[in-house]
Amino acid sequence: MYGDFENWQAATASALRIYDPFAYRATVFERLVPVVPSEALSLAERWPVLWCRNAAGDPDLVVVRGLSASAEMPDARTQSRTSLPLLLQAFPFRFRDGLRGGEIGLDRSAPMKERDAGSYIVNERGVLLPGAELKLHALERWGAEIELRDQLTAAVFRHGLVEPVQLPDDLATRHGLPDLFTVIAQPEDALIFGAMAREHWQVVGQFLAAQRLSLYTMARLVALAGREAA
Amino acid sequence: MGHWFDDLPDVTGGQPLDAGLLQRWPDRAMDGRLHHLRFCPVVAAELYQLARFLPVTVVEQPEGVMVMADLRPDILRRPAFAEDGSFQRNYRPLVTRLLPFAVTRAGGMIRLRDDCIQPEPDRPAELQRQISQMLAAQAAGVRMLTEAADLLLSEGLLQRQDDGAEWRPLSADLAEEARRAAGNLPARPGSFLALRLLAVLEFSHLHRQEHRPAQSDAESLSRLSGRNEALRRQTFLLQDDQLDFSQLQPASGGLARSAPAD
Repeated sequence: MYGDFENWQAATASALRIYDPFAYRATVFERLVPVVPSEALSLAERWPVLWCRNAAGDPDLVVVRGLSASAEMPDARTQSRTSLPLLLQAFPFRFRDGLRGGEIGLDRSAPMKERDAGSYIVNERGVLLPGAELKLHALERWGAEIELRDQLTAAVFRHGLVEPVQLPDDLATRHGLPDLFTVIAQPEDALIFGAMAREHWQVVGQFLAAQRLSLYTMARLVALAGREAA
Repeated sequence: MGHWFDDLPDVTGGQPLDAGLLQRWPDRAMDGRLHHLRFCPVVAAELYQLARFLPVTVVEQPEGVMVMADLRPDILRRPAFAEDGSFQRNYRPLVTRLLPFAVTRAGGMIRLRDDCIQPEPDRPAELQRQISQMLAAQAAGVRMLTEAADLLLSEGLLQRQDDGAEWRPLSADLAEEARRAAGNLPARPGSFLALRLLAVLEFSHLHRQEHRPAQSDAESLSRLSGRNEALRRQTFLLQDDQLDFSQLQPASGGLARSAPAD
């Protein structure tokens, strides 16, 4: 999803403009976008929230926006900004180290199509402009849950409380999808909640329900991918 | 408020199920009357699936609260029943499938008293056994959700809705209190189901008319986006049509070639 990183100083010193999320390639084409637990409930209306195995073989919590890597994501151009995953709302702002947080900068990627004039990042007095502030706020929300995301992933995988998500026929191989996992229907809840601080219990419960709710949306993605192949 | 099944015409309460009441029953006795229901109880096993089609909420009954699917046409974004009374969702709540047999808040099994006389054929013992097994499963599922709702209520994680009989999750301005209350639940399975139920109550709000797609999460941001709008309204020749010179007569070849394609 990310290309080269440009640090904050360099990006704000130049007259770089940022655009709304739909101007960027990632919003229209990125099918697996990393998410944090508290996003799951709002995403569950449209998309499955699952773990995939990343390149290193580790589980990564993502929202599955479509199955085909080459096609545009379903509804990618018609939804509202706030219904996007946080990392796409924040784009092109990103963490230097992708999903690990820390230094914030920009992804050095040009918009596909400039739908409007865009906005500078800071004004002449160095104050953040509203567009940049909205995007940074989304990135900060994501950053605030990195630890929780890791703890939750570790807890469910360590105790074997996940099951693979099977797609019909050869859809997964045909579209080059990584292995996908979900928490089982009736997990031993004490193992999950016991591993979490109590202040996170509400979000964890919310996430577990949201993931089950989100599984029903897989049928639509499968139907869309099938129609495309036919 | 009375029992949820009091909304069905000709139904006058329920009586505890016994072997005699299970011997015969009419076919689809209530199907033509279901559109009178305003609520119907939800079973734990169908919680997620149902929430994809109908709002799930917590409603007071004479014996206490129950987790219910909301069927009221004035609440739903899209009515649950067509004018001819047919059900308009791809999923039908389990409870409506076994009527006139039903379950109570405490997990008891009842049969609704029906003044509408219909032919009641004798049923084979095997079928009676199946019905009573399905009913027992429903009773267990209803009891689980009832306990979860009781817990949410006692821990202050629900607030009374204006009309009095309905309880919903705390509003957004009480998010911090909700988080604290959720962290104070006793560490046992019922609590974790209650937290899932709370999420389902929130999620299924999207089926209500009053649901507005989520705006930015903080009040400060709505102010910011207002500023953003003002920024957008400044004209920097941003509209495509303002860059469309195709109507111009090409005075010279050079100008025509430099015009944008669309």
